[in-house]
Amino acid sequence: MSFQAETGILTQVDGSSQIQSQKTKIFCSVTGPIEPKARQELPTQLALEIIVRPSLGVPNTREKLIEDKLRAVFTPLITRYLYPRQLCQITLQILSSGESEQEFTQREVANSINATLLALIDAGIALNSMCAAISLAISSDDKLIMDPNDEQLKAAKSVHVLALELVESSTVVKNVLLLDSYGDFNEKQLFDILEQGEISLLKLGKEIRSIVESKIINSNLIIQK
Amino acid sequence: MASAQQQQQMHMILPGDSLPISETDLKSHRLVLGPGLYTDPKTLTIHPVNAGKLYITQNNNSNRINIHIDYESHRYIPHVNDLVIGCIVGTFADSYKVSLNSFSNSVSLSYMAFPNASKKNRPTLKIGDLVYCKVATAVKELEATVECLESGFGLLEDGMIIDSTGLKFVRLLLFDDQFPLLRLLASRTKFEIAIGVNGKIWIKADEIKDTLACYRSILDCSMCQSVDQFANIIKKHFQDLNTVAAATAATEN
Amino acid sequence: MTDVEETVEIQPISFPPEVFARISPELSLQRHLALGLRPSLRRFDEFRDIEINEDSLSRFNASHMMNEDSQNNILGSNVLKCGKTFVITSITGGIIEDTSTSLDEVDIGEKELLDIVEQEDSLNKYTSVYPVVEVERGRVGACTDEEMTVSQKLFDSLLHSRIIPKDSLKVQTGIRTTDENGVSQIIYPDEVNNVDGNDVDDSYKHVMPRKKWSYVLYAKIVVYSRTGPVFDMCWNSLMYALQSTRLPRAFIDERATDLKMTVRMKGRSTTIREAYDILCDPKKSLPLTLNDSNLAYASSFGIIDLDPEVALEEARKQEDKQEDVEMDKIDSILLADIDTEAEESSIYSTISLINNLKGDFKQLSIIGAGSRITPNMIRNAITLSKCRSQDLSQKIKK
Repeated sequence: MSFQAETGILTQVDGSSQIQSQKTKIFCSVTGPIEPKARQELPTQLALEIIVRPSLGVPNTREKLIEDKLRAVFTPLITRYLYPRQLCQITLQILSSGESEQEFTQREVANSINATLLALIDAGIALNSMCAAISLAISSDDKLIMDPNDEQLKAAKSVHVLALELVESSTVVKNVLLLDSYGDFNEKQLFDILEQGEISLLKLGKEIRSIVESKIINSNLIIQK
Repeated sequence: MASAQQQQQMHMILPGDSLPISETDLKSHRLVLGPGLYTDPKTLTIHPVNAGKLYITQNNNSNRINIHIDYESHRYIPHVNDLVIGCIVGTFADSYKVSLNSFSNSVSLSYMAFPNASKKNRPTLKIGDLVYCKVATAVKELEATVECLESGFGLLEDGMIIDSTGLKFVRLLLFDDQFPLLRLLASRTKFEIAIGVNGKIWIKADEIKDTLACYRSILDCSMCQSVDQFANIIKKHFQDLNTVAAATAATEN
Repeated sequence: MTDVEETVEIQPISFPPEVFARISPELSLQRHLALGLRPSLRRFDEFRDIEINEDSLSRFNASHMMNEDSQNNILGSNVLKCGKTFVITSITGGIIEDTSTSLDEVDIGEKELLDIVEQEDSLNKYTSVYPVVEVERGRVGACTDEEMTVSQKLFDSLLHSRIIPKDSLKVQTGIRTTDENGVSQIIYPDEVNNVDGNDVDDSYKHVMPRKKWSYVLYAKIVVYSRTGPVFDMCWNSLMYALQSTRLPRAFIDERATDLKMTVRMKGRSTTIREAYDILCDPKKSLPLTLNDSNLAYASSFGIIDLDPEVALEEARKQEDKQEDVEMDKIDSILLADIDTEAEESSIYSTISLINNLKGDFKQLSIIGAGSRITPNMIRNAITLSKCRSQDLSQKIKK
């Protein structure tokens, strides 16, 4: 899986990122920690508000489900107890979904996770660890395809999103943050996905790392004389 | 400059990485944790939570290791003794409501936190006024408080506020004596400056054109890649505004 | 100065179990688990039993057939009781005109092209129902996030499970004819074929409409007295309801069959085609054909780390079992069928899966927001879910 990413593009928010992988293109902004509305406030931890806006039309239940999955991934990742009674607002604008929206969300979910991670780091929100996500598909001849495109998703027997929590310089997998699978698959294929996905995600984790590191080096230029 | 007594290491670090400190060092030294590090309350392990440069300073004379991560961010979180610029957004019976960052939780500035304050002698700040103040208390569960007790703090009149630089730039400007920007500006004009680590810089020169030139210079310098360009940026802005001012003066006459 | 003799006694406050569970659900859960029990008094791997009431609300149910002109428009239904929770699913339907061009209008070349495209898009042959989930909470207002996400997840899961083929929702229309005596009769070409055995199809072909229709199915799922996560209950109830669903036969009036007339207006001729009035037969219905091998049932699991301190406390209480609890080892356990507020609010790692009788998966979500999910945990969950699936499939009378 390869992708291009940029961070810190928006000036009116605390953190932002843009990610493009194949035909999927997503913009993410993060604002926080800010003052929450009374109903959002949690007495001991940071509240998360995640808003997903589709590339076409108005948000509906499909986007709500994507938000729900993103929340599941980022709730354990953010050091929530560092910001009691505060709110972090994450907004994702899908510029181009890169898949048939009626049937699939896999590419959008996987890329949204990566984009959100980059935007959170850009905003300086405390995180417990890094993560990486990828979409996968098993084709009709039982081959595992990493980062499938729209045609491959349509032809697939089953489609998946895998997100892993990475620690120790993105060399060790700490936990499965999300595995979301639909379609027809068996136990062996499930463990194949976890094993092969882990290999790909460790590689992807390194890529994300190098994006963050080059950003840090660039922002440090100013001190060197 | 690392002296013989002080060892300093620099290291790129991201959330979830392991700290490059040996177990024995951890046990035998007193650790002082700065920004970017978090102790898990359950497991009591220390791990980095922000992406940036890790500084580990070990002073051989005292049994102490200081660790912090220098990272860029845009939103300020109050810490005790920080110098900040706030905007009065509300008044209560005995305190002002002060905003340090748009949309962040506001902090409070008591009427008693001014020099010579008494029940009868109330400060006369209005909504919208800027104040230079110091963070007095900052507990993450509670509303932070600021104070203007010492001289030099208090109302900032006139001038201009620069708001959209990162927090890192502001820290450089305030704490790094070697940072050339202020000296370069001072060679051009006389000005007053207040730097708040909440990402706000207030600047005021005698003439509006100089204030504006300073404003534009600081804003551009905060975005450029190298300090070498500072002199040119400043030169350009002062020259531009001087020509404009001269031209306007000419037409008025 | 206080007297040294005076001692301050700190009285521990004690609460009845229900109050304690309310104020500190996590600790209450840990105390239960240390005893080898769950707050619901189930074993760790024990599911709640499910009672179902098949198809009692449906229009085509035998007991309702007496009352033919009833306004009941429910095509399939199910009432599921699981623990304290009731789930009522009712399936209703509608008829829409197929927008894709009917096949006899397409020339052969184009048809081949369509076939190739459809072959690659295997999902295109299947459809889903449009579910609305309502979780009753004793107040009205906008739907909650949970209701929306559960509905959407049901829709996605059903589509990707490939249970309802698009073909089985195609309407095979009949025609209502009125003979010279004014007696109406509805003829269904496929039925006539079956009776006589010879090909009568042709005689009706000229009156059959060229348009195609298909049914759309809606599912309304209402959950009463929710005590825990509801997705698996809603899915299972929907599965039962779909298996009981019957689609009404539909017919068009003879008078409305392909009526074409040419109208001349200011020199330009246009053809006006009569709009069909498609009506549903009040008595006759056909069962909904499902892809039976893909029928699958859902189960959910939670994973939680046992708090070693609580375990130690419990061990201390039982004097005979001393010091055999290791402090360093964190044990995590798999709990089947998450229920009660304590479990829902303090378990962050969950596995939810839908599998068919063969043990193949149709849907699976693993969320690891709390304790570590190990391959062994997943395997255990799979084994348990297979048994559960077997059990649930036997609840329905075939």
